[in-house]
Amino acid sequence: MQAITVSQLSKAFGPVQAVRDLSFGADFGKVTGFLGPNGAGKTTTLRMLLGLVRADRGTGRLAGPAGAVLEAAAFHPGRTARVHLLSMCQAAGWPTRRVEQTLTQVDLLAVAARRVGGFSLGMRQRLAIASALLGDPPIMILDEPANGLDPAGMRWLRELLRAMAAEGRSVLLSSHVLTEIDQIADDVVIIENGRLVAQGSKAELTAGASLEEAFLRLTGGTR
Amino acid sequence: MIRSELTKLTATRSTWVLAAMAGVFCALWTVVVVVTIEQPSGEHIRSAYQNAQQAFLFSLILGILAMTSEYRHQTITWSFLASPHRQRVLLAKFTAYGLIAGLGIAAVAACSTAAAATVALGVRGFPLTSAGLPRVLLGATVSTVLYAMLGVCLGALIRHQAAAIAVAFGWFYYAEYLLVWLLPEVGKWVPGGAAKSLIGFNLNGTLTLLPAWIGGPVFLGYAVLLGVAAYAFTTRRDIT
Repeated sequence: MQAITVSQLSKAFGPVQAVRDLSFGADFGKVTGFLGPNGAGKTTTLRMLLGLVRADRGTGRLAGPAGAVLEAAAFHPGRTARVHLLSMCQAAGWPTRRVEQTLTQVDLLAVAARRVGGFSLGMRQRLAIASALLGDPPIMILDEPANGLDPAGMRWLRELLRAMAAEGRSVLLSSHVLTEIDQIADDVVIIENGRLVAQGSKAELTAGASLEEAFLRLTGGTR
Repeated sequence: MIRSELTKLTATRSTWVLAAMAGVFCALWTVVVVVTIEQPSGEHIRSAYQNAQQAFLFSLILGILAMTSEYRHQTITWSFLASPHRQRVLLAKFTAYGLIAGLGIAAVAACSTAAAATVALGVRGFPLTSAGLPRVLLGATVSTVLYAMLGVCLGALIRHQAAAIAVAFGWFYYAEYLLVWLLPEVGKWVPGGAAKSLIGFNLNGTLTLLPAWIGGPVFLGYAVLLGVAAYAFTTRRDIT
């Protein structure tokens, strides 16, 4: 069974057709890169998968609970990192010991009692990742998670996601930073204007060339 | 779920600021009212204690913050990710911000009003109690809680924090006051008029109010109506 099955998903916001008849899948045990130019419909698709946005047509199915890191993750500036994670655990019914565990995992334990308003972009991103890890989910969905992370943080995230896939989890990772996906993904899904352009293993799609070349060729971005 | 909301509620400074302001505000109004009393009739003594209902403004704002602060800081995304059953999130907000925090603010208001009234009435040498006080305080408590629930609904519907507070302030503080005083036949049916009936606010018989046993259900009806709208809106909305 696939971890994520998107079939014939469509969504319009007013006159803008964000996602059109989109179908793809993602497997357990793999990191799937979800690529597309800005405005291709990546964020809308991920939000439909997570139940935050209602699809006009089609379905997005998850074969288990998913943790999510969404783009520009925001927090209440007056609450501490620990309170944020604790309130999520209580809402979802996850064991509250996960708060300290994930704080340790993302290396925020030392600042857990500080208000999030004083956090740097990178610290917020780590807190968002901790929020996604809280429920120990078999599926991870990340929308541009590298935003705000420094090189060391990006490497740390890459290793974390690779390790999660190695444990048999499914990781769906959207990005427009191709080198980032090139380094981590097993499979690649490419969309443009809300439509599927290509799907397959990275090796198949690139056929020996770089992911960047393959991406530009497939999305018509070559000149 | 409710514990999660209580965690957020108690960890946020604005909660405590609003509760403290409610206490101070009620006490000040009580003193002002006692100072202006000319004859210490039972009705006038009661009117001092009726200021416990002035806390409604703060429980209303706290209720509004329940949902609008989630939208404002985009934490609504986390809330709905942790609990995809949105109606449960809304229900937990009603319980935590409406019932529990509403009761808390009502208790602060009742205590500070009673304390201020005792001191002020004592200083003026008036009797400290009169008949019907329990009903005044009960009515103030019920209406403070109901206002908090109305606030939760309003916040869920309007979402923009400043706009929701401005609408609530304009309606409940100005428009309703004018209706109650100038168009009592209409005014007695609006939430503020119904709330006044709960505390038997009718100084010198100048107001036309519903009897409390109708006013209470009328107020509750507004809360239920707005609650249904908030439910429909919250469960359908796209969180982008």
